[in-house]
Amino acid sequence: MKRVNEAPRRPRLPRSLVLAGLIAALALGAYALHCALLHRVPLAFVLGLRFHLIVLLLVGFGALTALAVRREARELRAGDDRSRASLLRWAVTIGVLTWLAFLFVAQPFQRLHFELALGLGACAWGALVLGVRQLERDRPRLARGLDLVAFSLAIATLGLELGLRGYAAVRPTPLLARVSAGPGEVVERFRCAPGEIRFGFPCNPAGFYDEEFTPRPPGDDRRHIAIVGDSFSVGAVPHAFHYTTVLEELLDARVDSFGIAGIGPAEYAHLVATEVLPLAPDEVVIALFVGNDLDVDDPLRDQPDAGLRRWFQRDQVLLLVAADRLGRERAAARRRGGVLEVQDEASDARVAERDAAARAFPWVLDPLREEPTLDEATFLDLELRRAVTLCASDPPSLDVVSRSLLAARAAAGDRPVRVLLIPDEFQIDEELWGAIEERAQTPLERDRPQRLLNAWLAENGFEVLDLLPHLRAEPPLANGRPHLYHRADTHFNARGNDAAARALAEFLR
Amino acid sequence: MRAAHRLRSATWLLVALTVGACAKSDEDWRADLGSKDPYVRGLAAIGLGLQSPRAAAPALPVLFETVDRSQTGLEAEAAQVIVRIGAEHVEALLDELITNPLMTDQRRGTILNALVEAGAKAAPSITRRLAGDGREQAGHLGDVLLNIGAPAVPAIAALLESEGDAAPRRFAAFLLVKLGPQARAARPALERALGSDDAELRAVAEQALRALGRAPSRAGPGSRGPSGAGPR
Repeated sequence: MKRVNEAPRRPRLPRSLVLAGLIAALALGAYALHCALLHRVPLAFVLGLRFHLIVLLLVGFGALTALAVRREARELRAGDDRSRASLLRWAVTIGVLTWLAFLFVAQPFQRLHFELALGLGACAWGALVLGVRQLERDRPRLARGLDLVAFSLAIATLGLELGLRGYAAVRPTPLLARVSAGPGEVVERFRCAPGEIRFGFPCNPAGFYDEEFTPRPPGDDRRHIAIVGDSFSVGAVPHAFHYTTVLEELLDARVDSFGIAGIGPAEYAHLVATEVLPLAPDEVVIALFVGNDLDVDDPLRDQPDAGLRRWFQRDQVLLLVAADRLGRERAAARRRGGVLEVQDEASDARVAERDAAARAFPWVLDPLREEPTLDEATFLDLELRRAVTLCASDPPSLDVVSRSLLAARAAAGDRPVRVLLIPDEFQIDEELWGAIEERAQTPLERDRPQRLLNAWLAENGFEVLDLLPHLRAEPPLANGRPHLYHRADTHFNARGNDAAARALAEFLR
Repeated sequence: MRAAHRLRSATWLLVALTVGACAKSDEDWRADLGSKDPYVRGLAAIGLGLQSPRAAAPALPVLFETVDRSQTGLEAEAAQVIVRIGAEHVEALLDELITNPLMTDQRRGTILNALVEAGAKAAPSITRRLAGDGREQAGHLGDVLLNIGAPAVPAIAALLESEGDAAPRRFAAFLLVKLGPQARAARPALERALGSDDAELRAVAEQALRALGRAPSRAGPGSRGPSGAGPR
């Protein structure tokens, strides 16, 4: 028989859910404290005072969470049926705040940091439960207002991130292109210092061995090509003799050289997404050096927790990625201040630059006068290692290079992304190859890197210029050797740069 | 009442477990050195280095790798640990410096700093390498000895008086010139070097003696008389 005077019963689930959540928070806090103490020797060294603060907070919040568990259990037993929905909303709010705090102060992502942050966030919520219950009793309106504002902001932040991710999945744009995390740091670490002088030429304000990259002036309909690469794109020659500079003259185009010594395919993709595309070039050329761009380690391959990294690594969170890129573009525009280069004087200046460089560095015009960069034994050892890695029985891994090229193309959208294959010196110089074969103690297939790469590139629809046949066709000097690479250095000399520029000009025409 | 008691007991148990199981042993750190995660490896190497500097030899390769790796955020700390424990692992540091000419500047700089920090303890090993397999790195090793300063002088003097090839001995004399008055303890060795057959060595030794503060007054006990080495 129905009892008409009985008050409607509130659903019991949220109440026990809060208690369960508090117990889980306490367990997470205890686990975080355990991890912190377990690693206290190195963590105290690495984090300094911050480590002690973390431990204090874990202990303090943990104690408050234990009190909250006790009080919640007591109130449940006493039949307190007040709604706990606000406590669950605060759990979401604290979760989002912890996420944002982690993105700003605990980078790069490491699982241990994540575990500490999880414990801190969980116990912070546990501690907050005590305060919120008190506030709800004393100042119910204020409590409700705070709850709604904080919860709305948290949900909006989360929703915006999810929306950006959805949009980026459906319509990829350079602004929202995500590249793996490590390359950004590698790029910053190896980039030349702005103004750094190389062979009498200052690196530009962005740290590249080229003139300043400016936006295309109105009315300039010259073709604009961006070339991305490693030390070959930085070059071991004066700027006027670099292949991108020579190419600029051969094509009467603007060629921006985004070269950073020591980087690899993952960093090329990063540069394309973050620095090349904002300048809106007509096309992008990625210069792959087969000597060290194929069998490279993926900076993130041996780092676990890929799923967590997509949410807890700063450069994977689109809210921050987009804000960062927009900020950079605005700063670059401010720095340029609307000053555009006067192109008419460029070619005279180039001739003068070339003459001056040739006078200052006479070996530029005469490879036989080059001084070796490495001692001969070290150079041969380096080339031998490269040859064995690339040409012996185990095929080199194309994993990182293929993923990076696809990522760069996806980021570039409609702009063509072409590939330039730069051979290693042992593939061009017969005498060097002979010395390597003699020492290798294993059969080597000299052209294997190009064979593998060309097949993959063709399969995936990339236009590619393989410099191997072009450089092999260059006539040797009087001593019978090609002298396209600087002596015992592994990089092109002026002759090699010139040959590469001519082949590339032909390819791009 | 019973529930509250149970809760209290559980809390104390949790606290005991948390605190009781804390701090990894050397064995734990060594096991972590093989982790797939470079951050865990780096942290383990730092932990082992700080906890047991003498037993940290297995951590050195990981510390070197961590100095080079920009993704862990532990580069600076790994370098500091190498510098701290360097005195216990001078030979390993020298091996790395000499056998790996293509290392990064960061790694090389860290090793050189560690050798300087090791001071007098490193000097004999360095001078031994200068006379042997470390000649390619003479520039770097010489800088280390100069930075160590006076504590390195006995080892440099021993190199100056060593048997065999003249080049390392000349280099030792050159270092003593650079050290100037700090090389006072090497005066007897320098004076003996004035009697060497090697004219270049004699000239540098003379220069070193002048750098000590006053011109050499007479040839050392090994002097060959007027036709040979002694100062004129």
